[in-house]
Amino acid sequence: MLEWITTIDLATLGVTLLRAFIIVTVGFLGSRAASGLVYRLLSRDGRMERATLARRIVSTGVLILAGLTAMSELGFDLSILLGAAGVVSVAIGFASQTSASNIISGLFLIAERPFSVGDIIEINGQAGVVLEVDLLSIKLRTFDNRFVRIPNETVMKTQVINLTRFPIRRIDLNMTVPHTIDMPRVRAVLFEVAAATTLVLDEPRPEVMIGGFSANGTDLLLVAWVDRTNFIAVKNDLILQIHKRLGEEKIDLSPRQKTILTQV
Amino acid sequence: MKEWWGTLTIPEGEAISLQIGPMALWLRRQDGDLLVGAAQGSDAMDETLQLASSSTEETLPAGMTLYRFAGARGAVRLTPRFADRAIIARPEQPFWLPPGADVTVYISAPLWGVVSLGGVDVVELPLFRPSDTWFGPSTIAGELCYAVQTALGRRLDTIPLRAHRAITAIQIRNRATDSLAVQRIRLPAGLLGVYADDARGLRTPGVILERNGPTEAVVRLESQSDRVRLLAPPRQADEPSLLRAITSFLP
Repeated sequence: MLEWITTIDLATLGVTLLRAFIIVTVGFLGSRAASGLVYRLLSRDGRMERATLARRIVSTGVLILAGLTAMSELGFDLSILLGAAGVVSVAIGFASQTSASNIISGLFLIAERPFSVGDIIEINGQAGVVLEVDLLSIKLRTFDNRFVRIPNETVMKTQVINLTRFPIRRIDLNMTVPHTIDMPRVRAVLFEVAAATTLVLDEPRPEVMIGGFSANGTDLLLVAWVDRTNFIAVKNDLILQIHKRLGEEKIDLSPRQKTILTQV
Repeated sequence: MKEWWGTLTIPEGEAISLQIGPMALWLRRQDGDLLVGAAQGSDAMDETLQLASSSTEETLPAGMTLYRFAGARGAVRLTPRFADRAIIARPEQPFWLPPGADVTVYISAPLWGVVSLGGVDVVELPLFRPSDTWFGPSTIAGELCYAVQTALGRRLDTIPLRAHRAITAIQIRNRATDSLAVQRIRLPAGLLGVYADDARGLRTPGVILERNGPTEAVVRLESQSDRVRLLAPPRQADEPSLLRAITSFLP
């Protein structure tokens, strides 16, 4: 090491440093250009998570290559570095098992594609829009505008519900009607409201299912299909229209009074 | 049928109103802007036709949705156009078509009204918004369409002429070796332009659906005669020739 230092002179050192600087600069610019090109090529089919990952790999790879080349230019013996890196990597490997697991899970997620950037998913009770699918984690924006980071390992181990995978969704409206109610009339009202709602799909046809008898009455389930982009608006509209029609028909769904007798 | 389409003369500072079936329109030029008000009624078969006339309403009439176009110059035109999605027509009573048999049915479907300014379309409104429906083998695969609530007439003279609807003749040819249960028909609306027929109102080109096998069907369009005038070209140039135009969902 000392022999190395004593054999150089300032002029040579200056030229060497300049060359190293140029290599690093070219490497930096090259990494930006290469990663940008890779991103543009891979994002054409809309698979943004794959394009983002590839951009980062290319960028990091080119920068590492440029860095190693610059270090080689400066006279560092890379074999020593690689040897040290081997030892360090073993130590890091033990310490970063979770990160490695997240990276591998991330690769599986990108290959399997249970969801994409822009989809709305529900995971562990959190629902939100997928912002990014990275090597280590996915990022969501919740509907109340919170940022949620979920490690990929968690995503792989947990049930994920993709609310926007298919073009249509079913609205389920549960209600319990008193036993004494005129059931055919209630069903007729529900069918009429569904039929009158333009955004409710004609097919699959709306249905009114009778769930069974409970202590409070008879359980009904109105199911109606909609374009998934109209899900919330139509669900709200159906509830309002049903409420209005039941009022017009003077159908009272409030639970009947119960008399409880106790003996002292 | 009186022509509700064409160039609308709206002097600056004045308004006109017109009603085409269930759709009421109000247009006004004000301070160089074009204001368009629209309100759709609930009767899909409304036969009202009130041509453009001066309106005393200086402000947007109650119940209308307003569309405002700033810096509006150029002529205002109103044009009918066919639906922006495929249309699914269901016969009141499904019927069977034996092998080798042909049948022609007529359907009337609502039109869209397109307001253009200086040759550029600025707003497009359904004269009656049909109900949404899904057409496909499952809830995963398929497409969103419009459902047309209309009887499939077997005779053209049984279909009432309505200003806000166009009539399409659909000829179904069953060239397969088994009978075809006709439960619903998918009309490729994007391929159909709108024509004015002096005798028969607004029409689209006829459609020929030819079934050649259990799951094989071809759609062709009839060419138009010289006595009809093209009002609006089709929205699309072409669709794949093998279409799921006829679907028989057997239990």
